[in-house]
Amino acid sequence: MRCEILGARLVAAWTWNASDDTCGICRLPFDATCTDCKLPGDGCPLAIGQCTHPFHLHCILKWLASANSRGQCPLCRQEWQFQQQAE
Amino acid sequence: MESQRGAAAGAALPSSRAQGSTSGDGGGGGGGGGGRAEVPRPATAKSMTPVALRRLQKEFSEWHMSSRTSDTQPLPPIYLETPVQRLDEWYIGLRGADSTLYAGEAFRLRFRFPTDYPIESPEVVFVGTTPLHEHVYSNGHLCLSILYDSWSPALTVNSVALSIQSMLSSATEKRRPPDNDAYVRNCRGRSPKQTRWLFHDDGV
Repeated sequence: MRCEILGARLVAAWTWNASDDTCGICRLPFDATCTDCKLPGDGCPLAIGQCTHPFHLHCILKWLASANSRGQCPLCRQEWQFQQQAE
Repeated sequence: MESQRGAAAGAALPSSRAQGSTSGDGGGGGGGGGGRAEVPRPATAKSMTPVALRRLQKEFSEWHMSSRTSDTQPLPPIYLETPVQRLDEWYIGLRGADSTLYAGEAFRLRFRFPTDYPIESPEVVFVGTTPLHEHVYSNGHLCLSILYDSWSPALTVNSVALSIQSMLSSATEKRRPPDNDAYVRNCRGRSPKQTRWLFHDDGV
């Protein structure tokens, strides 16, 4: 028997690998964007600290840029060090 | 920088109050947040950053979804007073927890949100009757580190209100801070965020 595939419709889904669903700073889902961005995905990535806490990269940068932060993670107050960008 | 921030906050409040009461101004950017349709959306303060707006709208709808508002009967121990007239100024009702020194007492907290909330902490004070507590001044100011130096954007109105309630609950005696009179005389009308606080009691 032989069959011929005339067409196919492919659907893909993606999600960030993070220990949490929402950003603790803006309270929006990681799979959406931070409040400044329009398109989710690589344009609005996650940042994970060595303490393992994830945030939107743009949100944590905003926090770290403020004098209030004293360079600390908003969730555990350890000194913030970037672990790596989420993949 | 200090004085700039102070001036901005001082200037924004009276004028935006006036605008808010005449027209209800914005509606602008009122889209996000979800929640139920019957919840009246407070007027948006013009100067809020998008981050502040969306965060507050999110928190606002979470209070409604959990029915912790003054629409609910019986009143929850901590509730949002509704209707909220302005998105940048909320009143939270707080009742003293049972079997604590403040059982049966009721208080009101006023939250004022800066334009870059939650990067910047809200200004939180007691209004009306202030609880007699070692960390609460008679003008309503609170000596609580998370409101100032130890603020974190991961804190919310709800978690701050809970911390304040637990601060009250753990009191073992009712008394004013030792420097109450001098402090209150000194800071006439100023925001507690302009005070340089010394936190010496980590136990409460």
